[in-house]
Amino acid sequence: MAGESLQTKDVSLLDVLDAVLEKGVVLKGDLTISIAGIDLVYLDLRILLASVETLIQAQEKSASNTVGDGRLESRREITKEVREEVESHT
Amino acid sequence: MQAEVNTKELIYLYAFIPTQEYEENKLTDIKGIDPDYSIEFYVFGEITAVACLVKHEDFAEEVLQKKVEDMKWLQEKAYHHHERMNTLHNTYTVMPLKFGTIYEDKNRLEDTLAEHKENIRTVFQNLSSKEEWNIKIFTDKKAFIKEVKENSSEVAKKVQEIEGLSKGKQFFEKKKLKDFIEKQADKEIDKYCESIHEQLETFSADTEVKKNWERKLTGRDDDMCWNGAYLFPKDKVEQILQFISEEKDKAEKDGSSFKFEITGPWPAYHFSSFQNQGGE
Repeated sequence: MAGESLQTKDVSLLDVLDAVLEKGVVLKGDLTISIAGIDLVYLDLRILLASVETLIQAQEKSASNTVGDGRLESRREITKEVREEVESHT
Repeated sequence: MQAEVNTKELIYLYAFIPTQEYEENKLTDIKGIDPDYSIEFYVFGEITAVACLVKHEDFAEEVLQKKVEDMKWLQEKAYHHHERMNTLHNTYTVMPLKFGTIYEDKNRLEDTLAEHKENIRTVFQNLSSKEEWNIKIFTDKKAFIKEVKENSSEVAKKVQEIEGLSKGKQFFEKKKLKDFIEKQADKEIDKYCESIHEQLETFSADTEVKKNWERKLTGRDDDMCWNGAYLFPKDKVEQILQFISEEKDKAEKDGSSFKFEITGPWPAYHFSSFQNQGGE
């Protein structure tokens, strides 16, 4: 049993999502996503933003060397918002 | 430079692996998360990044946010991510990254790697010859509360105390009794789960206690009361599974409603953070 990793068929979608998504699976009351007629997963989609944060952090770093890049400025704003959102949910 | 950003492909990052292991056994021809591209191995000194090119139209930050709302898409891609990770995990010491870790270009990836080189090396060492397992414990909370109400000595003591009070006080205390019983039940459930956790901890190189999922999420007719990720040394796994199986039997024999669910081995998703080494 030990040694070989689990194949997809052995674990539920929920287990996989809980492992591979940055914040795991989070319940959010007003958002129900259903697959094949079964209410399977309630997902707080903001969890994904946290993963993308890695990218944004890298940009923020390089932004300090790039003067007047409006796109990065606006992204930084978004990141701040996201971070607050995520924190208020955890 | 900025004008080119949207025409170039992005880099979807799966994992880091030790270059030495990659040099010894090179996997090739693995289809990427974007089926138009294959998985590539970027060697940066002793660390190799496992990645795949992806198109802006699918993985640009603002697009990705929309795409993940499509459950079918998310399911397909999340499974892909997990399956590729298993493939890597079967061959290498793998430091898995989360779904949706995306870099704009190789230079940024290289910068991140350079910055966290030491941490990544430490994670490789920590993960070597170990694997992640997930252990959940369930119980029927309603049945458990009933059991506590009928059999707990704490509850019996409380009831006796109340009977000694004046009629007026009794009224209020009886109202509070239901709460007391529920709290007592929670306490006993926690105590049980924590005792299992403490024993598992002695085998583990690392642990992470996760949030319990509600019934709506599990679809089960009992309640999750423990959800833990454990990093076990490979040579201890058999012994640990034996331990859990014994605990399972014990719970069954005692007529308790505790049920175990064990999944693994997993790539070490919960023990691969290189950003906050020593920070937490």
